[in-house]
Amino acid sequence: MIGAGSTGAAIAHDLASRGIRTAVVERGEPASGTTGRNHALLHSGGRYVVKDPESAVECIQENLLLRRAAPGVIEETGGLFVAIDDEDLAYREAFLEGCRRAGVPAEEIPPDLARRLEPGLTESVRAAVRVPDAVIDPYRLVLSWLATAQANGAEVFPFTPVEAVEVRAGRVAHVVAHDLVHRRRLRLEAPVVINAAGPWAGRVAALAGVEVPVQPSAGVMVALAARLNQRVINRMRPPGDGDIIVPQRATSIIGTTSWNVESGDRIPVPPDHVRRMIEEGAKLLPAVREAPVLAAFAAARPLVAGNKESDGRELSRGFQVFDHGRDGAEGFMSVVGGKTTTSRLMAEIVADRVCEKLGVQQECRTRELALLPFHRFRWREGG
Amino acid sequence: MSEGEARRRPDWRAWFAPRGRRTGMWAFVLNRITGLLLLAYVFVHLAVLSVLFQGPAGYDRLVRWMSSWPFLLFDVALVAVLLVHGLNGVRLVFVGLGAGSHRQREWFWAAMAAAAAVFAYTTYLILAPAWR
Amino acid sequence: MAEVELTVRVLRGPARASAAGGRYETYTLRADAGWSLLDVLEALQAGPAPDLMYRHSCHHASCGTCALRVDGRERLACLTTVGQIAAGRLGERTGHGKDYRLPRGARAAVTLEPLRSFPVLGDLAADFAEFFGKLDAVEADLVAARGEEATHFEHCITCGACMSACPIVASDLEYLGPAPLALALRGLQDPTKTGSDARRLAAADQPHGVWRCHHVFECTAACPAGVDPGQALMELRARLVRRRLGWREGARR
Repeated sequence: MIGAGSTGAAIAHDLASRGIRTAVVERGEPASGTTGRNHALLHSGGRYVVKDPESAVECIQENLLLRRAAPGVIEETGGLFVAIDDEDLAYREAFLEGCRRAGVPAEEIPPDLARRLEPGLTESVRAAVRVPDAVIDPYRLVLSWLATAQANGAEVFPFTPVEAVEVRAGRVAHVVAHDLVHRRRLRLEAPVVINAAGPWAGRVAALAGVEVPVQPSAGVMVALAARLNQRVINRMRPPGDGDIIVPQRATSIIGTTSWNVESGDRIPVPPDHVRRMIEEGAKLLPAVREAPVLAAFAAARPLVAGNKESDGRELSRGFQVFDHGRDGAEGFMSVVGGKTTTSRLMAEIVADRVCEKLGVQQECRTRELALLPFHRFRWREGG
Repeated sequence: MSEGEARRRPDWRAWFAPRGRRTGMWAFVLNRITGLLLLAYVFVHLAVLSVLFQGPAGYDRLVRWMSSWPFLLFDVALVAVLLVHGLNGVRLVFVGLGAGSHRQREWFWAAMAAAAAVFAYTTYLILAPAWR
Repeated sequence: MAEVELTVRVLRGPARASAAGGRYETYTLRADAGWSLLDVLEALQAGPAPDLMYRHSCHHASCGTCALRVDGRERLACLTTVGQIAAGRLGERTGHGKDYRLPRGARAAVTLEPLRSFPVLGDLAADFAEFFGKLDAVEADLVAARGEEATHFEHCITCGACMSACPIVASDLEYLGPAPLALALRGLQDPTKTGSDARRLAAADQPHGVWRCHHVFECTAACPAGVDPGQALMELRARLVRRRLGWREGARR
């Protein structure tokens, strides 16, 4: 595994639980890329029911599985979709119909009940729907996956950037990585190497001489120094800028914007994006305008590039597996895209593919397996 | 290979390292230092008292020492150390039982203010007769 | 935003048993006043210090990975901004969303060191293995409550700032320390808790548990999440004393 974000960690957990010898190399701290800086939303699927019903179905199924597997990293807040203008109201019918079709439990409640549940909500609430959104601690979820993988024999090497992916006679042979903790070069021989480097997947793929069409798309989020809502609050409309406020610990996080960037490194936080988040957020929760900012931050989503013209929101939020066997690197695979909420499912599909390649017959067990607590993770052996 | 040692060792220097620290740490450091000074004083005290084994002559010498300026100044310093350690100790008894621990900083300054007041008065009591 | 000419002194060095023993490297760079220290460290990584090791994940004070010592004070790198450093306002919880009105051509210098009392993986990256072991000993659970009502993650983000600030954690390797003990109390108070109260109480009521605390209260001063572990420790003591004396817990039970 190259990369210890939610994709890499979930796949490592799946492989290790099937008894496959697994090693994970990560260039820095686990979840130090896209995963750690995500919105902390455990999707109910509500955000996708109209535009991407397939994703919505996956979300609600995985949402329920993850609550059982890792209750310690999930805050069971619930979520609300609220309509605050005519345009939002026009979306209501399609939204409710989408929820019904995708199997997302959605209960419409009167606007005044919504305001009793969430006193911070704007007075102009016209319609409100309850969904089983929740809040997740993505860093600790990744540590839980990795800790469980470690307990099942996987080796995890944080602070170990990959330097080379060696391909010989059309097959991947080994990976060379610089283990900064032990100040040594690691040479990991493996019949299968999986590139789960997220927005950096293109760079890792280039080491093996292959291409991956990943388009990093940045988003700004603003965390406030106050928790203004108890439930996730979504705007009832097609996904757009500043349409969601997620409560996490003592903060409320407003998100997000979307624009294409060259790489996942050194993403700026444009001040006008921060202002826009606050303006849009204040339309849902007026107190957003007065609340002090705790932090403004940006992350790059690794989207699968299809149409280079778009700003990123139109690109697929689903994931793709690229088998580089046909590019002359048998055994080398890239996994791009996806969401933290559906990582387990993505991992199951990838691990099935790996088992097929290795000729191993082992069923996926991650639907039932409970994860170890995050504090069982160790950064080095014997640590 | 230069694998770093993962086991750390006790670091006592941290007890006297107030860089970047705040009131609570200064109170702690002050309490360690005054505690050690008082411990040292107990031995000085015993050494001085041992003069009494020399009988009445020793007693007279002791009284002469005790009313000398250096000794009186030493007494003044001793009172300061005792007050700081003692009153901070009272603060710790209450704070350690959970009483007012979220106001520990204010209690520290209150204890020190009380110490300063008592110190001023005792200094007067000790030094005033020597002036006459 | 104003630019600042920032001189950063970083305590660097390979994996070792404690922060001591590294060497200071000095870098100078032009930094935007709105940058956090994570942006500064990333800029160093992209420039003069490509192998620089530091921990980060959420960038908004929730993951607890980026705590380090900034001029001797425990701070979250994600909340500490260049403007805040230049204005000398490290006492404020966050530098984001503020205009420090820096003069044109402002300069500032800052020293970054890894947390005290933690083994080091390299440079500024503390190894949390021992700390996590202590969280395990009290069955720390960061979800406070479950059920019908909306629930919270515990405010403690296990960033280790309190462990670094405490002089007793430094001198007694077995001492559980502020965060684990605060989470032990949290576990006891939580009506829907998981884990064993007996284990939590046993861990707290031992020579290296609550009785080791010397009331320095630097844990509370250093906490970037407002948890007040010092107060939690005292409450835990009071609980243990009541139990030892055979008093009943409050009528709430």
